Amino acid sequence: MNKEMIRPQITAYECMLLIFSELVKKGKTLLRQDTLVSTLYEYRENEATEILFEDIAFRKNLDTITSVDVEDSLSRLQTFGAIGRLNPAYEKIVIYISREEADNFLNSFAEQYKDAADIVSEAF
Amino acid sequence: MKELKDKSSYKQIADDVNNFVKLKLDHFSIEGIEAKTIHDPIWGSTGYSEWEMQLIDSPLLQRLRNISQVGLAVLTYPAARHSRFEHTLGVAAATKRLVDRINTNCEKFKIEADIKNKLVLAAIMHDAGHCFYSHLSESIYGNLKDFSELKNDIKKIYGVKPKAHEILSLVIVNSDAFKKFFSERVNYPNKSNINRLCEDVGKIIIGVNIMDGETIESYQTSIINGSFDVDKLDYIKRDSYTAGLALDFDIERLFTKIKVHTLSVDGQVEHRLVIQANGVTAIEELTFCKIMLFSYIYYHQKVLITEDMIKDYVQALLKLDIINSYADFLSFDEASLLELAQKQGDKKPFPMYGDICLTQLADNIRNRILPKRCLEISQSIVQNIIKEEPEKNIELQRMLDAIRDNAGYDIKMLDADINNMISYYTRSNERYIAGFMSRFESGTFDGILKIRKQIYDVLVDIYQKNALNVDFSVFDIYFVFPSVVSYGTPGEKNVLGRDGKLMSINDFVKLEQWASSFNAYKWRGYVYVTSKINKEYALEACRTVIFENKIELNELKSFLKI
Repeated sequence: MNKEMIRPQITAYECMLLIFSELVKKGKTLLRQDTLVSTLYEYRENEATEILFEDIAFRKNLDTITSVDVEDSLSRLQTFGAIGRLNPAYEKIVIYISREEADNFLNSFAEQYKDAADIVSEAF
Repeated sequence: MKELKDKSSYKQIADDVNNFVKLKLDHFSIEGIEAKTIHDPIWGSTGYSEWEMQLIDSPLLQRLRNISQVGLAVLTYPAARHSRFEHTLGVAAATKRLVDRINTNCEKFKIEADIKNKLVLAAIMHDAGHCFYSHLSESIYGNLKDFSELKNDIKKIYGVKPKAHEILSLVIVNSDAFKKFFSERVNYPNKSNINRLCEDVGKIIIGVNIMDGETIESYQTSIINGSFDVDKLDYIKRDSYTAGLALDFDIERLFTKIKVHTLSVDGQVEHRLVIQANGVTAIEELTFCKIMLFSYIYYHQKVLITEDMIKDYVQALLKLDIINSYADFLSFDEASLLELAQKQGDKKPFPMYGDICLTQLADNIRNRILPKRCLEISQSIVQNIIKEEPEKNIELQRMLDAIRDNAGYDIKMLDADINNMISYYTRSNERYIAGFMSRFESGTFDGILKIRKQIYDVLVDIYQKNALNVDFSVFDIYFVFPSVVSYGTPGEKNVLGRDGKLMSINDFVKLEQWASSFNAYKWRGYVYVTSKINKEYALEACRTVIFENKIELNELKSFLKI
């Protein structure tokens, strides 16, 4: 038994925060919620972006794609005030991260992660 | 499962687990074990067949009697002494009822006896992989390097991310020792393909859909590991009952409205577990109960601190090479774990962090000497930290002028500006703490220990400035950062409308939105200190380490008893 304790290189929460930070840089702070998971799903096996999804599993049924990890990360981001969901229909996610905060967060990750987040963020 | 079994990550853990299962089952005699009726406060009287009892009475399942269902919550809710064993019986009882009700509710679809037996077997074995203090121990062994490799391999092959104990349950069910016992001694009704049966059971436990030819039999997995699975049906009722909490949901309504629906898309067929639209209220209640249960029991501040104390103790056992294998994790129960300190109590597991010894760690838990909160972290404790940006009003005016004057506003620019404005103007009521909290996300034990050390170092400075004696260590400071309560995937289409159309729970109640809003205001992180440390000073140190002295905190003293 190897007793070294490890954590993912990038957690589901960090992946979402990274993508949202890229979106802030691009001036895109309003997102449709209903297509979020299916859009991310398209990038999970893309050679350039798969590193982002180390900690995210998707469940694909015949007619839907869902992800507990994405849902939990959104809930976490909302808990920390980084995103909100607009009343009353809740169909949009609003990103509250400032440009400065987005830059700080992006800079804490290696280039390959930033590049991957840049590619994924183009889809929104 | 061949691909998984061929992985070195699987083989290594499987060997270890196989030795444990062999030890438990090799000398166990099934002689005289008969069918029984067992009485239970949650499910009433349930009949268990001969083969079910042969498994239930085996040492492999009996060990669950000594693993508490709710970990150390018993130190806060004294009556919550129930074990994984009662829960396992309850899950098996719920499975039988649910399958029978599905067969009554569906006109054309019937769950055959073979499938029912397989599901009951999965129910009986679903928690067989739990180790001492249930989820607490899995948060340790589940993050060890070789276990993490196995988790990654499972994700690559099946696309799922099961809990660590579910993986151990899969490995147990598919161990040679278990299959030998099951095929040679258990009187299971159909033993024509034990390998396939055990593989299916393992997959169901970790949440992988079962295939029958080209048909996706997702209902089988959903019954044991899904949005409204039998596991939840039992633990929500049982945990709230024993803790004395008045939480309930309408299980009769759920049983009346649950069905298996046949879905066909592009020639592929899926048999999916669904709830009829007029039974959605039962799912709402179930979700609400789950979230409340986390809030009341599992994330109760006293429960969280006791769990962190035992984590220190288990990490100490790992560092001192007292726990050396997954078989050790499976072999120790909660009583024998604490007894280890009596034999090797004077050893010092964390020399870098002071003189704390095993006995002290164990005694504090055994005698319920708990540290107290000095800081509660949440959106509500921070003052509004969002800076006013008066230039935004000018920007907005400029933008409106440009639109009104039809001054050739670039559409892309307009889109970005509108986004920016909405983000700014709707943000004003939010309490933004992500910038501080993100660095604590998913911290390992060593990572969290470093934060505790930082708080300790600042505290030592404060004590020295005040000419006070420092008689505490890092292990008098605890930093607890729980995850949010998962409300699952309400976007999954498992609600059957009157017209036969499938919808999601979200189509009815926007469940994920109210659940995440509830989470946002209920979540709490904590810093605790023992009575050796002055809480005023501790709070000061926390402001420095956690919030970097950058934000104003609301008054905490009134309810934190500082």
